[in-house]
Amino acid sequence: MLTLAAILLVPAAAFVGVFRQWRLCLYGLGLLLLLVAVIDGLAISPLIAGCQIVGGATALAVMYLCGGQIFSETQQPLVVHGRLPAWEYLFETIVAAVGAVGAALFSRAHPLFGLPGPVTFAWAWLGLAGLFMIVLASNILEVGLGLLVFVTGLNLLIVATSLAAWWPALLVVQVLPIAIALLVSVAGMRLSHFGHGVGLDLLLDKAPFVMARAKPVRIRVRRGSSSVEALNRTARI
Amino acid sequence: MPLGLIGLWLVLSLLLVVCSVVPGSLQRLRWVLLGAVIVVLAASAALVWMGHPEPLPRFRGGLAFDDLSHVLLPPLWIGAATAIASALFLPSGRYEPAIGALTTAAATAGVLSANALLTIALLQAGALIVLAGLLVHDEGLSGHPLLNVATSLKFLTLTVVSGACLVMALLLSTFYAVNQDRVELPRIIAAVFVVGFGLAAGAVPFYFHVPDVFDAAPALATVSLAGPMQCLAFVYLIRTIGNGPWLVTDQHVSNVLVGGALAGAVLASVLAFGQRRLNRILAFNAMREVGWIAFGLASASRGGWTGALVLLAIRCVSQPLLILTARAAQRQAGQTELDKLGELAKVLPLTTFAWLVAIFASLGLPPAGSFWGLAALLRVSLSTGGLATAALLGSGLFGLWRLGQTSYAVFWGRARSFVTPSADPWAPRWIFATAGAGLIAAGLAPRLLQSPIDQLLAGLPFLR
Repeated sequence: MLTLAAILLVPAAAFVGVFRQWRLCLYGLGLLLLLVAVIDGLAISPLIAGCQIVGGATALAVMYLCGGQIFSETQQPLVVHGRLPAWEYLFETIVAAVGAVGAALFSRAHPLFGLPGPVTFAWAWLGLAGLFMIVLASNILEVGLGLLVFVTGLNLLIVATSLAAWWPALLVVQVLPIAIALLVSVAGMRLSHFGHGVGLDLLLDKAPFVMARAKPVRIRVRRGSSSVEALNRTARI
Repeated sequence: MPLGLIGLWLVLSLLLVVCSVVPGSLQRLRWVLLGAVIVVLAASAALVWMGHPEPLPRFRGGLAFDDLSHVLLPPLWIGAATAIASALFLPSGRYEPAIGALTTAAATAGVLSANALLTIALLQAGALIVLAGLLVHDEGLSGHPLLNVATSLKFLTLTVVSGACLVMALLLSTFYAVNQDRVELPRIIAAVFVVGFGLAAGAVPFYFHVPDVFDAAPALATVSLAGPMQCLAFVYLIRTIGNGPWLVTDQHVSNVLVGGALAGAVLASVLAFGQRRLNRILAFNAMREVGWIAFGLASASRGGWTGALVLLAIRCVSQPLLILTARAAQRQAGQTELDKLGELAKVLPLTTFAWLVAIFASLGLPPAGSFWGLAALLRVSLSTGGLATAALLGSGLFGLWRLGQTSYAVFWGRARSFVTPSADPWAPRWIFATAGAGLIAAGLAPRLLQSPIDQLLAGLPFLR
């Protein structure tokens, strides 16, 4: 059962990264959180599994409400990312397969901290999948989903290796995904409030990171329309 | 007692959160809230004064009031209380005092925690509170809301990566403690730990988010990052080394860390010359200080640790003071660009005094208390080699040059526009001046810090 839950994490995390509809992505995330709770319950304790379900459900609800708000405001089609060319889906599938194989080899070669193989595989796979999602993200929701997948893997590692007597630390650790979901949601909604959508390319274009190169902020201003040009020409004449 | 100390700051935080949520109450009750800040500070100081600190504990579950908390908590609270008290009187964002108090409560709990995992979790929680400050902040003087969103995304991602690295280093070091035959592990652990700590403390070359946070975040969120949160990151570093001295007793690792820290300090002080905004200059100045402290700790010597601890304690007050006085100057002028500020000493004499004292403290110039710390670091660098001394002195001189230029331009240089008399209330200016006078007093009475530091170092036999 533990091994089955760990194996099912592979398609669950892949769905979160590959689905286009934001609701389907969140359903994938819900399945992933449920599987992690199953692993927690079987390998650690039912109490930790209960905490995982409550924390995961809250983070998921926050992301769901955020997605609803953003996509209702931006009037965009309900997709997290645009339709990708076929080769890019193939590339993502190969990346996921390589990641899963890598996590499996790692769990066999370095069974660190005395954890069962499926648990080692689960945290390694979730960490890798989360990192891939963050690196390949093109908008805030994808970054948020990647961070949540990564943090879920990290939390699994922490609760599997910590003593129950450290409950204050575990409590804070379980609350962190909710805080991350909340902050990503607020960031996404602030961006959509400005009427810019939620794409990261806009931030890279317009957020004045150029200041790090010690230059003044330069925000490109759209050139005047043809009617204004015509008016200027008339004025010069 | 640790629970009492955390409880005091938590109660203050909740009070400020409630007052922030109810519109207008922060303005109405500011004198009452100032009283509450003073009472909490006095009660915390009294508890620490009466407490009996234990030697640096081994990592375990629960809380501990040890020699390190005894050295660092009072200056941390003074810096935070200065920031919170002045924010009550300034027309800044209404959530700012609450953010300052919440991060102080998190840092207090982290400093008092003997549980490594809890400290890491509180570091993350504090960073997320700073992030919340970034996101609830309106445009402010920076005037570009996209900068806030972009900075918060970058900071959030790096915070999570930092937490993952610190957790992995912690687990691997626990694993190594029972598998001493895995000789390859110490250097791997040191590498992972350095990345996690570098991101948490904003050390060069892991500083990607720090200048943007200084530029985009409200004053109290920046103060929280540069004061309590960076202090907590160093506390975690000190406790980790105290629990696993093999991290720095490996001469090769120690040399790499010393070189990296000093190179980071030089680089940060040189990069400050390329910045045109006051906040970004202060960000690179803070990174230079982080490099100095990291150098002292990486040297694994008594002198180095003494210097690092003195600098760390003093910067808990000087960094908030620098940031707050800079923001006061920017608000007065209505500008953030360095070349648009000027002649502010005429209208803000007390703020100018506080700024100058904070600059002296930041650079380790007498009569500030950090002079004793810098003197100890210089002695260690002389014993390390000429290159280390040159790097330490070079970074200090570059810092002095750039901060001197900046001070002249902001307070005495010619202003581009007519400078009007300050409309801000008098209370914050006096709070700044009092904190500045306190920094001078700490320099005139070096035993104030030296005595508890000696007590702390006596329990660390691995120091050379």
